[in-house]
Amino acid sequence: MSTKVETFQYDDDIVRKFVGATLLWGAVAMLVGVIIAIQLAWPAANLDLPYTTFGRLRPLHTNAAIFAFAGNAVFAAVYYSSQRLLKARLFSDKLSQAHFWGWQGIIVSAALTLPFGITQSREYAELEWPIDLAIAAVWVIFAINFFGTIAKRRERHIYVAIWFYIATVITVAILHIFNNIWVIAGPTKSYSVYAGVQDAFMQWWYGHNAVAFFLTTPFLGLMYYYLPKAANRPVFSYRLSILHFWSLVFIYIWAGPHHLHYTALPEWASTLGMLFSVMLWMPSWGGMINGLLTLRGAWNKVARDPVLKFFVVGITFYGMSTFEGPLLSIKSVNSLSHYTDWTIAHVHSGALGWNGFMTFGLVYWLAPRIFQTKELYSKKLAEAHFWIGTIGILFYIVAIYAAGVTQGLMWRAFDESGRLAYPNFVETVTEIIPMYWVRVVGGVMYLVGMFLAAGNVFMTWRNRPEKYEDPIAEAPPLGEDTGPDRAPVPALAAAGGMLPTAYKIAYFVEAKWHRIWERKALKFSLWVGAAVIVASLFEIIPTFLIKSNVPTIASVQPYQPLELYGRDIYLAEGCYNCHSQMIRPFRAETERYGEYSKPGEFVYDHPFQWGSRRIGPDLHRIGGKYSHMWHVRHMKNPQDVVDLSIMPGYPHMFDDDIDYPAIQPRVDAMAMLGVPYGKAVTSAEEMARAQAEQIRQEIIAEGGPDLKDKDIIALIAYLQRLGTDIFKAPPNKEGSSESPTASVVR
Amino acid sequence: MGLSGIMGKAGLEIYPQIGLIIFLAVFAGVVWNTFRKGRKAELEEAGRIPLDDFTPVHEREGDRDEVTP
Repeated sequence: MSTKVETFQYDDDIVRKFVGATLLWGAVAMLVGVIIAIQLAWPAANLDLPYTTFGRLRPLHTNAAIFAFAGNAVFAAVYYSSQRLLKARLFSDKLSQAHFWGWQGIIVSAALTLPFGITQSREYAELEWPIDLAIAAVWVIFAINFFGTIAKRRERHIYVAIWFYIATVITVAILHIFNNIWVIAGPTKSYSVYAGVQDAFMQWWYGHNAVAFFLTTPFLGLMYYYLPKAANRPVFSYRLSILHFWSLVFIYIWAGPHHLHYTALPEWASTLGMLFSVMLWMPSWGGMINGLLTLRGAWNKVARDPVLKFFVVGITFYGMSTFEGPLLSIKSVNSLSHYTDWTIAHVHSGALGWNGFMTFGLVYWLAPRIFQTKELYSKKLAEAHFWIGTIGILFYIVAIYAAGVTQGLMWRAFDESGRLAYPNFVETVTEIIPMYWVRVVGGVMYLVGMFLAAGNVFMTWRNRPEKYEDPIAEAPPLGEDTGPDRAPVPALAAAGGMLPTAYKIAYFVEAKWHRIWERKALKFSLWVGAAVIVASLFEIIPTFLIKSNVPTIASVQPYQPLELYGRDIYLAEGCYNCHSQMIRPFRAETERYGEYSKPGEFVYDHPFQWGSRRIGPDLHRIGGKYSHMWHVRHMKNPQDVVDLSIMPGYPHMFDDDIDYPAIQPRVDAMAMLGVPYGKAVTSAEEMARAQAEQIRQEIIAEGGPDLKDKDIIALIAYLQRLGTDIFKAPPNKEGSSESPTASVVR
Repeated sequence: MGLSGIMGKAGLEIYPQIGLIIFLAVFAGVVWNTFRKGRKAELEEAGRIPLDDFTPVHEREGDRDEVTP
């Protein structure tokens, strides 16, 4: 036993900072959420400004909620609990500060780019490449600081909460890097190297696992620390928590494809995703029960303590959403739920109930400790927050579940004569507008709760002592790991007459190796990383490399330069937030939208734009469906063409000019990705001008205005091209097809 | 023939299934190891780590009797 004792103090300054940021950005994220909820119920709230349309603000809301609100909460929670679980001050105060300020800088730059249409247009990974690089840098800083702390720990065993944090740090890094591999086409413009099916696969591998490792594992980690602290008793079963951890790490990573049922994704991949999702039921509920049973015999405390109330409801929502997630991954359920508000309700029961309430419980528990006031400013206010928040969530999700199921059923309803019962899409929208208003009410209640929390913590902060006094702890440093498990082989062999090989077998069978690497942070991390990477590779490689999975279609050709530019407008406006480009092979869909989508149709789509929610109709077969003039009128003011439409107008497309010189570098970037761009590689601008002129003349011929060189022309070029290639004759070998871009050898 | 053509002909379809089995086997190993009798006391002690923010769990008073013999 070492007699040398070290003294140390924890760094709570960084925790105070992250808690403040959590509350600030939480209020912003939820405020934007309320605004876009109002926009859906009352389209005039889009204000006819390019910066405030739903398509641009919705990514701001999701990114702020996930990365700013939940992100800062996670950092606060991790930094406070890790120091105490490891009995060591954070590795470097400077890195902590760099982490904090770097992360806030990223959030600010997100807020300054997304409303301006600077986006990759891939859900939850919208931020453009310079910000992606900054995220990677800050994450590395976080990782060094975190692992550095583990390395200098004074507690031998690494507590399970830290395991969850380790999984988060490693996996988020992997997800972020592999999902953001792009080719740069300008200072604020990049194209995903993946196209179509592969891009969809990567994106949902990322999207799904971001939910798993950004919104689930860190929150479970904090549950395993803060719940025992708040209840003042150990977790119900520590062994169950270990099982919980490993099953999540092993199973979660495989489940991503369940976001892509009945799409152009190969059948086996989506079935695999479904199976693994269903398997997730067990560990998730195991985790929930473990959390709730921790409070056995302490339920009287729950009645008195708002912190525990938030935790109990938060954990219950974890159970509910992890029950619902696998349910939604079952193909037949998914065929109804997908593209409807059901998904939105599911996500919000998780985000508001689980992430939100765990965060609030955490913040209320932390506030009197980090500000050293002994008590929270007002327990009553926290109680009020709890009730208004809970009722707000219920308003929100009940209304939106109803809206989702209603609209889903309306989409697939046929009348007696076998025709669509609601052929007009907008009918299915107006039906659910009342629920959208109920959602606004629920969202406002939740937002009010958020402000109560911010006020309460602010007042607690005002009661802080003049100077913080951090207690000094004492503990011996960890020496070499000489646990009882490591009897030297020869000694043991001599004593028991055991052969070294037999000893090794016994050593393995008794799983002493596991005990050792549970204690070795580095080895442990490598194993977690290996589990995640191997599973991901096995899941991803076949789609990338096995040709039969994406049959090519000879008539599918690259976009013309002007169409590509028009597509970039589609991306910048965030059209994917409301419109899918993926017609599933169901009669209800082919009747409504046209021929179902084939994997081979998307081979030039960098990035894919399948979307995940149909607030408006699918657009994959929009090409040629309407006249140019219809699109002109529709984009200027949708209600002129579709009465009761909730789409915002895009008058700025009639003012902004096409940036012709910007087209060539974009075509070049695409060519670099292997898109066979033929002569467009040298004359993209010229070709774009010619096509724009042609469309301009066609619009005038239809009796429309002269829209020379306006953005709207490029957008129409793209929309009229969408989904039309499979009906064309394939180009012949010499390249003398209708498409001048196709003149390149495959 | 491009890379994807070669890979397509290489018969790799079996590997995801092998990967799956390896995963399940390792997972089963972890489950068994966690719930083995011999580890009960040790892991119960570990579960008490959060309860004291300043003293490592094996240094605490009163926990002695629970430590693995």
